[in-house]
Amino acid sequence: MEDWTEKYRPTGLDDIVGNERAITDLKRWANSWNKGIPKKRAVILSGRPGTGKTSSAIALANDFGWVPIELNTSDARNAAKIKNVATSGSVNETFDDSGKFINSKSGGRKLIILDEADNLYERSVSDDKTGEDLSDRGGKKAIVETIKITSQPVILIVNDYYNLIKGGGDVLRNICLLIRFYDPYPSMVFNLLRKICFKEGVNVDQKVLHAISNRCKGDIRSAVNDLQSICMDKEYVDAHALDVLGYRDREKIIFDALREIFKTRNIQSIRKSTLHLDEDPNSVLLWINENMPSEYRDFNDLVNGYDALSRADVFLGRTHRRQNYGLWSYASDFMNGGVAVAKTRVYPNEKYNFPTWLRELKSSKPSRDVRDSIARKISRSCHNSSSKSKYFLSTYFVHMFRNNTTFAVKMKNRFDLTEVEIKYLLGEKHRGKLKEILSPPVEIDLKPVEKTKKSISVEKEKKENVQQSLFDF
Amino acid sequence: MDDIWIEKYRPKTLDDVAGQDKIIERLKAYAKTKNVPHLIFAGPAGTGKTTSALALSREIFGDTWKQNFNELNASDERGIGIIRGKIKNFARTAPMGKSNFKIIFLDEADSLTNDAQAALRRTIEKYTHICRFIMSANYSSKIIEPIQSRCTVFRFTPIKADDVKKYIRKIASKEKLEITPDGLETLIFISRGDLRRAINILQVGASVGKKITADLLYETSATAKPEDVKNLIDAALSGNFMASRNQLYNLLITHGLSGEDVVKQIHQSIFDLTIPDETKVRLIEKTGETEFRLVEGSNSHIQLEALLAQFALAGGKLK
Repeated sequence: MEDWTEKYRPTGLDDIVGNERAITDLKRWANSWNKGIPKKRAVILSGRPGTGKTSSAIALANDFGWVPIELNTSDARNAAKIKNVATSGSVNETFDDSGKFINSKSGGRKLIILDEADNLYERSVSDDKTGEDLSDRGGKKAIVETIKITSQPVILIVNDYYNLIKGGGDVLRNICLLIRFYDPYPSMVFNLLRKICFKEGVNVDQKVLHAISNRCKGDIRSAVNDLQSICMDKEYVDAHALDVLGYRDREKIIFDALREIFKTRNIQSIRKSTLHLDEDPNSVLLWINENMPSEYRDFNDLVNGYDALSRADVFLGRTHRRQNYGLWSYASDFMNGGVAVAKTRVYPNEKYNFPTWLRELKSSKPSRDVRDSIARKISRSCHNSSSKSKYFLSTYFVHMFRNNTTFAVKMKNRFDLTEVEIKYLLGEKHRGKLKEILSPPVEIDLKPVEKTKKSISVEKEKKENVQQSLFDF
Repeated sequence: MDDIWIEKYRPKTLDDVAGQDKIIERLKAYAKTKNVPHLIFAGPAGTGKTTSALALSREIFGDTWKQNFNELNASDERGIGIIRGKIKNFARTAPMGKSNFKIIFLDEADSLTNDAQAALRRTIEKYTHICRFIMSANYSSKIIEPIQSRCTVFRFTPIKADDVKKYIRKIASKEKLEITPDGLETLIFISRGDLRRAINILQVGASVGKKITADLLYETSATAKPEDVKNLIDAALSGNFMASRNQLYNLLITHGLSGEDVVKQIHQSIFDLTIPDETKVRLIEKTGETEFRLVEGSNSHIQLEALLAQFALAGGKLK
């Protein structure tokens, strides 16, 4: 049976669900190629999984009569291939990937699609000192270089824009056009599903379609997959079909499990329902951890609950260290059961939240990236591990930087700190010093007298250095 | 004040390393014979492990030390990848110049997973004819036995007050700082044998003024240690667990502190709290247990939240 996500993949840009603005931008960019090579030779399509990025790229190729060449960038061997395709003359008639001869319908233009481009550097192992890339040989550089000189349009597809531009990828920010894909509304997904049902000749209860389009959270691919799985070999699908659709509905299942852990003391039944959780114990631990304080209002119960949870965490730590995942079941049983029996009464609480820890980690990523990039710069020249540098940075360095502008300017020059990084170091309170640090007054022109004073003192210092040569650091 | 002092004043020769006299003596003997076994430098932070490794390599290799010395830090990449990738690649390349081996310095080797350590053992063996390893670790017990048995272990101890003083005075004179006697004593007290910490605190103080007094140091070291730790404890003691937890996340996520940093600061802050001594002692026990678990490799925020719950309970009982 054919995969519906492929079967109903949009053939033209007009078939794309939602994201009208992104599509307009994409078309405008593609049109600009008809007037010669545009300023931005590449676009980055950024958005969550299943929002139509790859489909749009392929649809674009169809609409414009370009030959799509999809490349997986994580393989370093592709770097040369990408470059080859990109620099080949735009009017050449060529063979496509499968070896078929391509007629020069539209100048034989090829659309280079680099899918999952944000995974490009993940496997890279780079040398701290030289910055040399050890595993993904030249992959990153080749992409940037390719985009700079390509005579063929390039599309980079990413889930996580920040992942792409961090770690030296920030050049891409300047040479690519960013187009963001947003989650389509449930009603749009609903219409698509209904259309598919009609074409497949399956009669599906509207409730089911609504449920699928709401639950998919904008992920069209998963919605179509869900639809296909419940329609399998059926002509009529009624509302009961929803029961089998639970597997993607993470939150509901987790909430049920939490309710059972927090409200009951029956560890046998808890064990049964948590076994069905399609989650590893580490994330279950985070869910319990998030919601326990608002549930166990009595501090005695909270302390006992945390006792169980933190011991379970010790189990998980050992499991990780020994890489022996057979020990996971002990951790699970202990945290679920341990937290359940820790309570002395049942509390009236019905509201459960997604773990703040995970949310914070995600939302603070841009600012942590800035911090990490400063820490890396310090690490490189200070023989510090990056964890030591992070500690040094937030405990001491920021204060030196804020207290002493001369020091700040020196550090800016030494570590080549960017404006964003300086802003991060100054924080909100000291933001006013930004200007002074970015463009310190030039003493030569303004205060010639002071300048000579200074140079004398420098000479003096040099002499002292010579005298104290015994103490040579 | 034009540079980061911990780097500017890092000793270049073994003779200049502060304290650790016995260890330095042995290392100098290695330097003299131009040969060295695999080494483990174990000991707390700021006691000279990295410095000694750098100085030793300089003295062994002379001009070619930069080519023959590679510094890798295991805390960023704890997995097997770093062993099979970077380390192996460096280990198997031939040494430069006259030397017949090179040195890999593996910082924070105790943060490598056991699998990675097992793979490392193989690499150590295979390339031992052209490559020596120096591993630094806060806890030698976290290095697996087979590696320990292939290495000579040196235990670095907290640096003695006199040695810290000597070093701080040198820096003060180079930087033209005036440091008062009580300022010096304070620095010794706050740094507890961690020379890196002492120098950092001195530099934060110096970023404010040229005269280093006890008051200035207390003031700057209080701002130097994130003030939020106190708020964190206060919130927990007053029964506002959620506020306390948010502060904790702020420290760990936004400020990027490690769980061990936070737990150590909680430990220090307990003495300043206005709670009965019996409660303090009980909380210290819980704090110690928390740090122990963190060292063993647990999830730091969960362990710290469990500790905060203890503070919340203690605070509730006092009311």
